[in-house]
Amino acid sequence: MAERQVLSTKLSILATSVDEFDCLVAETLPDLLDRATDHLRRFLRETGQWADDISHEKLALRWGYELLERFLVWGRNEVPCRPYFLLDSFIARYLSQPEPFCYHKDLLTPLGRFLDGVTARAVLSRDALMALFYHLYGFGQGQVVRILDLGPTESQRVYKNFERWRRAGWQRAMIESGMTDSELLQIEDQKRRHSEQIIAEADRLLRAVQDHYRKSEPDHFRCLTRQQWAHMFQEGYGYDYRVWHLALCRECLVVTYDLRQDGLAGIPAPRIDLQFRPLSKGRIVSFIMKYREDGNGAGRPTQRLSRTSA
Amino acid sequence: MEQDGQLSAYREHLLDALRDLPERRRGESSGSLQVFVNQECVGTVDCEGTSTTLLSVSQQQPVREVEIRTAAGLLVGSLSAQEVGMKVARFSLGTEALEVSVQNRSDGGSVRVTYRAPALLWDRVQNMAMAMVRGFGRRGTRVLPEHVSLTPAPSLLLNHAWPKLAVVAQIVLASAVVLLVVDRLTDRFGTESTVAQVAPNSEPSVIKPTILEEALARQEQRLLKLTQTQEAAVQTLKAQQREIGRLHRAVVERERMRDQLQRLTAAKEALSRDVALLEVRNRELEHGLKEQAVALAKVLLPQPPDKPTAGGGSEATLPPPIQPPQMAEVRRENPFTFWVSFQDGTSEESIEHLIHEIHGRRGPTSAGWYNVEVNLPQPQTQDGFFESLKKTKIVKAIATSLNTTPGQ
Ligand SMILES: [Zn+2]
Repeated sequence: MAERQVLSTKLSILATSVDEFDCLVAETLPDLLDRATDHLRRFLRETGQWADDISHEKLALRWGYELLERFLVWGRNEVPCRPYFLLDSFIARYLSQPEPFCYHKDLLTPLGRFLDGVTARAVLSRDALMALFYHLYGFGQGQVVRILDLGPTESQRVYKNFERWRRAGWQRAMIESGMTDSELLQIEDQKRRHSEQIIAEADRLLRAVQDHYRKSEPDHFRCLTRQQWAHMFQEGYGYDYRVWHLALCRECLVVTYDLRQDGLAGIPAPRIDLQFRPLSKGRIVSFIMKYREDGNGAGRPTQRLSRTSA
Repeated sequence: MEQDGQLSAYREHLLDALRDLPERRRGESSGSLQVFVNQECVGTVDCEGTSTTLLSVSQQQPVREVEIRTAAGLLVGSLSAQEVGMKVARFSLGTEALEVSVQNRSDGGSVRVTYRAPALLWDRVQNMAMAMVRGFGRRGTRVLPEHVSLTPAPSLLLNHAWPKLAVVAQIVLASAVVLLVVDRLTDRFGTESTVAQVAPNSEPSVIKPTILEEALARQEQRLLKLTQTQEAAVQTLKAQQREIGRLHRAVVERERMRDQLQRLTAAKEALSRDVALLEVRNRELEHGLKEQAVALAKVLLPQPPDKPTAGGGSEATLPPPIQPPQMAEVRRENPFTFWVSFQDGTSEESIEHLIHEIHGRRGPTSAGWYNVEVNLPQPQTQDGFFESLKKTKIVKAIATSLNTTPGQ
């Protein structure tokens, strides 16, 4: 009874300034997270996408968290407001959009959550976007720069803070998608023992994940035709486009690799080769040295980093 | 039970991450920021250096929301827009400021993100300039309370102090002149009286020493007074020099600010010229795109029946063909049939899977060769298609017809 009263008092608190909003949400963070999670649990239930198990609970928590993170920034522009009601309307608005979820039962497995987690992160973070080339195909920085045909300026720009991904970004992505250490070990073990099987599974899941996160909205960075890609690479424009789309679209990555195959001696065609942990720093250095060595020996295939480290 | 523990640990992790947000936001160097429109990245805004940068995006859908994130994905600004109308928001990132404006019309929406660095400099200089203009307009005798209350910047205070300084200096100067005049007058009167007293008298010598003593004493006094006056004059002069120095510095400062202002105005003008140019270029590109679309539509239209060849005629009437002509050809659904054989031991399931993947339709099978019909919706040539198919692990060989020797 008392609890209910506390809640109704909280509900009616009005934030009249940005500072008040910040204070209020900081004080009631656990309540807000639970409230957001409740909304998402109900939504999943009503749309027949719910099961009473830990992976569904984790899913609801994760989406609740992501929406709340957005809400904390977005709400500052909406004062004066009552944060509790505002959160309700924010989530309702989000859920009323077409296809708000990438709900796929298989994405609740450790492998599914890994792919979903790194890709979801890549949509928001350029560090994670660049890291996708490594986590999905095992491509190192030098290889990505050649595949995307980035100039020194562009590669410096996209890789400038890449260390941050190794240091903190990857871990955050794993925490946010609810991956535990034992789950990571489990899929690594699976990869060692049933390589073909996990590649096939990843191939299937990746299609769903990439389709969802690319959103395929008509205006920005959509799939291009072979000719359009050829034109872009020949004329040297659209660097953001390449980085963004090719990281999130395997079909187009294969097309562009095909187009420019002759200039990509030593780089294998993009095939799924999952790397669950970030590339450690020492390996990158050894890769660069290897790459220089091979610069002269034309046609000699560079061993892929993932293979040497496996 | 163990699962409950796992879940609450996860919840705690997430809460920690949320509590961390303000701290992380402070720790992040901006570098370049990503702009998301309706949750899709539309580009980046460079936030390094001291210039103003701008990102402008137009699209055919209304803009529902705009998000600004750092390269690491940290959300630093978010704005949701109305169906129709305009909305503007400002986000500050440390000393820098970002302005986001959204304009939705019935036929689409546009977003403009402007980064200003270092924030406030421009505004401050502008405020100062306005105060100066008003200050001089009123001869500097009245204080401008509205500005004093607005921005208590040190340079602004200097600006108000300077008319007052002039008044002080004038008073000092005037008093110095009065002092000098007074001194001059007393001196002359004194000398005259001495001469008058000494010259006409040839009194006994007893008186003389007294007179001399008196004269000497008077002269001493006068000298003393003179030195005092001189000292005062020197002090006054020094004060004047100091005031002049300060005035001079104020004038120099004013000149400097005027220069800065002029430079900034010039930069602003250059910027608006650049923006205008960009807008022109943008319109050109849009125009070019429309022409391309028209050209493409023409190419894609079925040939009129009275034209037996698809040759030069139609091409000659086209605007400059920006897209290669073969594109139009392959853009059409391009069904064709080929034969493919698979590596030994390939399961029927994998074959089915591959055929499904290429959207193929199966025909007859003959001695290990599978007949497949496909449409190539992408502008991909048959050769290109075969090349990528050959790369598939399970494919052994491909042939366009079984009568000829297979290609591989
Ligand atoms: Zn694509």
